[in-house]
Amino acid sequence: MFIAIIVLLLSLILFRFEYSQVKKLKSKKDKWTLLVGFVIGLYCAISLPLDLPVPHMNRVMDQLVGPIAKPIATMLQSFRIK
Amino acid sequence: MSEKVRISGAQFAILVIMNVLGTAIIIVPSIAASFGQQNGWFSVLLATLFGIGLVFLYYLIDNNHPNKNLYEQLEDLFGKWIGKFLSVLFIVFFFEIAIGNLRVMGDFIITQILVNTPIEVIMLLAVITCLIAVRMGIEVISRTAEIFFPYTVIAIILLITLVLPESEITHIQPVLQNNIAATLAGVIPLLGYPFLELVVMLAIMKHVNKQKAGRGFLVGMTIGGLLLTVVTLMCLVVLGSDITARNVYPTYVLGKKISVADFLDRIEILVAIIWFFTIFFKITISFYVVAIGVSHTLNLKNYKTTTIPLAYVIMVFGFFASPNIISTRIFLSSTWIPVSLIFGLVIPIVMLVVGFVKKKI
Repeated sequence: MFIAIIVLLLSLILFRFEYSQVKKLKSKKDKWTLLVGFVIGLYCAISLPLDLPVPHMNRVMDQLVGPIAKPIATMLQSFRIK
Repeated sequence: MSEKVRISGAQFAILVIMNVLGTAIIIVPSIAASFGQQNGWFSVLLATLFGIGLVFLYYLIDNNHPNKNLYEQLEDLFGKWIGKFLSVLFIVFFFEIAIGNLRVMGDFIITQILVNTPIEVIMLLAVITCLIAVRMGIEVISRTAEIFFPYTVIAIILLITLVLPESEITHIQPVLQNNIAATLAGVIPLLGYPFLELVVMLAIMKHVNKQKAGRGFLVGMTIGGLLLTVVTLMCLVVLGSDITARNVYPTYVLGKKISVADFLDRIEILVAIIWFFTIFFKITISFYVVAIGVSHTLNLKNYKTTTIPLAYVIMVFGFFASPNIISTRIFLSSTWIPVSLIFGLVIPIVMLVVGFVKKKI
């Protein structure tokens, strides 16, 4: 919990610094992207100390291309040294 | 939007070499030897030749749309919505390259060098370094690569020459007489990792002087591929095919074999030096390309807006990408093959065909 609070505080400082830079661009889209991006990033950052669920990219890819990947993997496996 | 800067052909070639070597220099010998055994070096050489063919494909695509990056080309060829959809898919692909390499680097350091250090700390430091480089822009990244490249080359030459006395030519004999089918099968995982990943360079090719982009790409791919082949060959002649195949990091084990006059021993950190430079550029380029992709897709004014949030996401997704290096190797030899074939070969071929058809009409 202590680490999560530190991450949160550091992120707020970082956001404050970055927001002042983005403000100069005078683009609403950039401001909103930064805000939404920071919320997602912050969730990711505190997910480590708080054990929150985060998608495992390799597993997601396994599920997406599994039907194509499996025959290739099986074929390659037959050529591998045992 | 992406920056309006120029990089030279030589700088581009160096970036290509760094991207080919990347994490591959330390893992590829093991993958190649696990298929072709003593002919593993030939698998790498064949994969390099295929990589050179890929360079021509990417060059033709870039030539059809000068001064446009990959994401702009996709929108030009397929229209706004399909183009944006394909851009998002490419962003996910490049994101996967970044987090995969970050994880491999973390795994290597905590298992070989800093065994008691938490992987999060290693990955955090790497991400912060890459974040600084990405925010500086592609011009600074290229110039940094130019500065570090000689050290990488010197370290590779030193590694090769210092382990040469330990080599035993019988380890790779008989040459190309047994395991021919397995040697050819070994080319398949090597295409996906690292050669098809070079599609990432299409996103920064517009910054290179037009006449020099193709030549830089070709030179970079050839040198990078040959260095990979030589390192694999050295692993095989020094360690033998069995040890090379069964070790996760055979190049690092190769470094441990260095012994000069019983005085200069265990300078395997040479390998780590080569590797830290190349991996840094590989992660940085992927990170940069993801950032310009997101800013292009969302029509942002400056790509730097997305860099800090992306750094958080890359760090955490990298941490959860795979539980260990063995799982990563299985992923590279199975799932990654069709994924990289789709993004590195199928979509670029479709882009080329659509480009030619549109030009004719």
